[in-house]
Amino acid sequence: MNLLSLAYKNLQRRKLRSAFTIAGIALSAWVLVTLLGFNKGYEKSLNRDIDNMGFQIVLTAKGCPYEAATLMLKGGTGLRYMPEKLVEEVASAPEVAATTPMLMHAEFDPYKGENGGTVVYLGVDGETYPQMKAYFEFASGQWFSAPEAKEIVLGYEAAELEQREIGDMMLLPGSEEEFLVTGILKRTGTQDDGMIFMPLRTVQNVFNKQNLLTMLGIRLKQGIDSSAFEEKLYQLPDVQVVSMAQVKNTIISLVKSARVIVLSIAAIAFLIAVFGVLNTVLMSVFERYQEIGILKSIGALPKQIFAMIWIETILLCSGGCVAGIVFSYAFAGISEKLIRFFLPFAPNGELIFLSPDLILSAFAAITLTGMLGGILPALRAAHIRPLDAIRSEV
Amino acid sequence: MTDMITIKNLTKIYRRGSEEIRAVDNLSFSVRAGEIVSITGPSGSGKTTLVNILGCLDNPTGGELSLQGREIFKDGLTLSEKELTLIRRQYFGYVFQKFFLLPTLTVLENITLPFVFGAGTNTDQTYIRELMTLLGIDKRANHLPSELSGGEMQRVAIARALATKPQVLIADEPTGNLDSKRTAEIKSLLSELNKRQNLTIILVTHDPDFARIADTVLEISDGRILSQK
Ligand SMILES: Nc1ncnc2c1ncn2[C@@H]1O[C@H](COP(=O)(O)OP(=O)(O)OP(=O)(O)O)[C@@H](O)[C@H]1O
Ligand SMILES: [Mg+2]
Repeated sequence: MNLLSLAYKNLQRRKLRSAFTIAGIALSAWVLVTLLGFNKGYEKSLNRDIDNMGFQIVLTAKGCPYEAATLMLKGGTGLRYMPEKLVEEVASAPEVAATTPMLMHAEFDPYKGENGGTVVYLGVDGETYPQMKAYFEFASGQWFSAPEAKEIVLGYEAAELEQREIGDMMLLPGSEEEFLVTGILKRTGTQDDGMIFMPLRTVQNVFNKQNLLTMLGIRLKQGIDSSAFEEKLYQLPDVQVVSMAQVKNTIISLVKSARVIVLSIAAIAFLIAVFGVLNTVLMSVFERYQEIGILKSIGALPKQIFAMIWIETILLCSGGCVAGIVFSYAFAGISEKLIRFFLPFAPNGELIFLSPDLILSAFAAITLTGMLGGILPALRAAHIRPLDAIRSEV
Repeated sequence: MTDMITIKNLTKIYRRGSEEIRAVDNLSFSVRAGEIVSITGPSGSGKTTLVNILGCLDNPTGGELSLQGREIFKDGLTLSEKELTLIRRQYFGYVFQKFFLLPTLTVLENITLPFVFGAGTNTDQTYIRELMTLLGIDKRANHLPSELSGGEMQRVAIARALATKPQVLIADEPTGNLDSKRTAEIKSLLSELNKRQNLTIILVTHDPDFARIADTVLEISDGRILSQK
């Protein structure tokens, strides 16, 4: 037997109390690890979403940059337009490798969901768009047959939601015509999965937006300095230049403020749990006043009693922490759903990314705090005198 | 026989507000190595206070105490807590009226508990076995204290006190919670241990029977020696 096994046996004495204390730590460790994992995963997924866009710069009509940012990734209302003739001007610049014009259109669909919802169409150019999105694969069918065809291509999730297959005719909200589903894309894990694609001309004609665009995607040639070119684009009248780096920063700064609040909540939960441990250990020290006095009389040095009580604290903290980490892994799926529900904008893919170094640092943080908190009860115990045991009448 | 413990003008004063209680009042005597000293006296006469000081568990207010010639207390000066612990480890084993066994440890674990803290040189397994056989608890090695009778628990406490082979056993009313049959058992046990190991025993008891095995019987009252036989 040694101090460690003695400490372990001491914890077993009050199994229920130890279990509750461990559960408290586990719960807060779970919250902490999940939130830290979210910290990482969110940015990672966002980066991937942005890399998958196929273009580094998007030109939109002048407007609120936040609006433009969300619009690009999610689609939204209050769209602004720019003239189509801009395309030639931009495409002729020597830095540009390729451009693709897009027209986004949003319609309110009263039959969508319980209370209706917004349906977003993306008019794309059948020539240039597929080249930008070279990683798109069709589950079935193909891109449009002609620039003005009354055809649509559905993203994977859009097809699932609408329950459509190739060859189906669809009456789209906001139009009186039926459209033929010519293609369904495979899952990409990006926002494109939920998209309804139509030929650019068709969107312009059906929704009366002739010669207008909402966005122009620009891919630069290799080795071109993006920020220098952005400056150049700003010379154009009434346009807004949104670079992917910028979008990312905008979204991240939006999320960051929420993150601070959430992390403070986690920190508070964690502190409460540590106080729980402290309380438990302190209580058990008072309960064992006599016993500790007896240990002193049979030869325990103050530092050995200190070590014993400290080990008890550390065992509680690290035990709870391990349990919490196991929870984090086991319930990552549920936590992810919960976060998606509360978040204004969530990229596709894994939101919670649990890496070994994150787990390790969470473990270290919790155990170290526990160790710090454990000093007080351990000191109390170390100073109990053998006489206290013998004299007390309890 | 050499002197094990010598006290000179030993005094312990408790103060409660303005009131002064002389629990030990100017006592001087010696305990020789291998001697059994039995201390008797009415309740509140200072027996516990005295043996706690003799066992270096408590400090006197004044006077001197030396252990095998080594000065431990002198004129209110004392050793550090650590030094006292080391002295207790080296010289003393304690048995109290209450048994103070750790409920989650088995009998054997309770007995070897002093070694966990480094008291005693190392665990002498054969000696521990011998001790347990002598005390009649060898069959109980893996039982928990809650599964034992009061007499057995006190014998485990005695085994724990003796596991590190101390030279002096301090026993404050060790049979206070036991019936007369168990008391008689413990009495003959202590006598046996004294003969076998030349163990010095300082014993507080109300039981006049113990006087028979004692070499010296101290009767104290109000912190003073009433008679010494
Ligand atoms: N910590 C203390 N503070 C104040 N007075 C104390 C303290 N400990 C003991 N006393 C007093 O000192 C006196 C001697 O007490 P002690 O416990 O030594 O007596 P005792 O002979 O062991 O009695 P008993 O037979 O009841 O165990 C008593 O009057 C007691 O009230
Ligand atoms: Mg007493």
